[in-house]
Amino acid sequence: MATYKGIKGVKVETKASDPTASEADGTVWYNSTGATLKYAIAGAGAWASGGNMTTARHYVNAARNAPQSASLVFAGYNSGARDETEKYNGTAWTEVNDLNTARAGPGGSGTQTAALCMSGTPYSPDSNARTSNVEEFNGTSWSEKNNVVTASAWMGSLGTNTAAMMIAGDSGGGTATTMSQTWNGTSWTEGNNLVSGAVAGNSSTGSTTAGLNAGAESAPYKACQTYNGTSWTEVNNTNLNHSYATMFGTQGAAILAAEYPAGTVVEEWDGTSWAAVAALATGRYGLAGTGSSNAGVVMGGGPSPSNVTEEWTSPVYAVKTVTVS
Amino acid sequence: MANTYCTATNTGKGFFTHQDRNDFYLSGHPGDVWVVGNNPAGVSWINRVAGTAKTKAEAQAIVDGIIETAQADWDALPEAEKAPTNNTRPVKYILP
Repeated sequence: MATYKGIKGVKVETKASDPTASEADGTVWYNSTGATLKYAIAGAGAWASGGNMTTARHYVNAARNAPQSASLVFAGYNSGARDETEKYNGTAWTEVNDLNTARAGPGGSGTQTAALCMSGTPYSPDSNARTSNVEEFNGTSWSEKNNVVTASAWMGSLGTNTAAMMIAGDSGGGTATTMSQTWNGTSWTEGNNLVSGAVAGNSSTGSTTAGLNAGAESAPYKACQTYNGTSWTEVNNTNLNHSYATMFGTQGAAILAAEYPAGTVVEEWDGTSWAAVAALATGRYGLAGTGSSNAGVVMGGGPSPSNVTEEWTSPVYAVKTVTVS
Repeated sequence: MANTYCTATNTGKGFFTHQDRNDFYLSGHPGDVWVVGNNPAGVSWINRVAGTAKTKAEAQAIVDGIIETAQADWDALPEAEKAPTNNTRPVKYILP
């Protein structure tokens, strides 16, 4: 009869308590306290609840390069455009200094200590209004920076506070665009346009030299494009629609979550193609997200302005008990 | 019965875990309504979060009520605010 030592070359270790699942991944041990044989495995990615935001709202954005445990969310809509800014520590949100200009549907880039909030709609007199205003967050407060070239809302955005992009979006009156604008830390310049057609309600992630854009509120709904620092290239479409969604990660590994008006659908990009992964628990749109394809966080959204946060982890490690029957 | 229903307030971190999501179906809906996979792990979660059990009809009525209120709010908007494609009239749906 084959033995564990014969197969693995070592004896099964005896432990009084279970080790951390992630550290024990791929190993087997005997739990002497419970008199059970156990093992740890890496399972599929999943969403868990995170701390609730202090102010419920949708059409928020975030410091898009921030990690799961140090995110920053700002702006949004709830009975008018909002100026609230909140920091996340992996457990709870804390309100910090407000934006100088309240807005909804802006772009966002950077980290919790060095972020950019760009353009959007002030919802005054109505949602067709746009602001060209750009503000930079230094970890404590917001200050004015040079305006974008062409104002937009519900656009894609990516990058850092010194190298950011604002991609397409609605320039007002429901006019979807193909434009991309690049921030060099001082000013904005127009870059090459998207190649798949005009989009609004799109999502982006990555950097100004390796960007990724997908999703739209109208055709081409499922188009996906990559950016190499100069131009856009069509790549494989998403499988599902993702308008007013959020995307986080890199050009080579990203998560695209949600769909207007209350979709829970989530897809993962592996650098070549999209595949469905575990759904959000709460369907929504107009949310924001930050982090990596292994550890991300999404927050806020509609239809009713929400304060709900969900954390994405992939893989999810688990300790299992060996059962013999 | 594949699913069971409850109301529970999302208290934030730890309200549902990655393991919960892998152990049973869970989806949140307006009015703090949760649709929960009807297995031992799902039932245990309802107890853990102090959920109030509802029949499907009761849960559906709560969701419908919230959406009806949202519809009335939308109907009262100025016509210009009803036009954008990202502000469509809320629509009722059937809970899974």
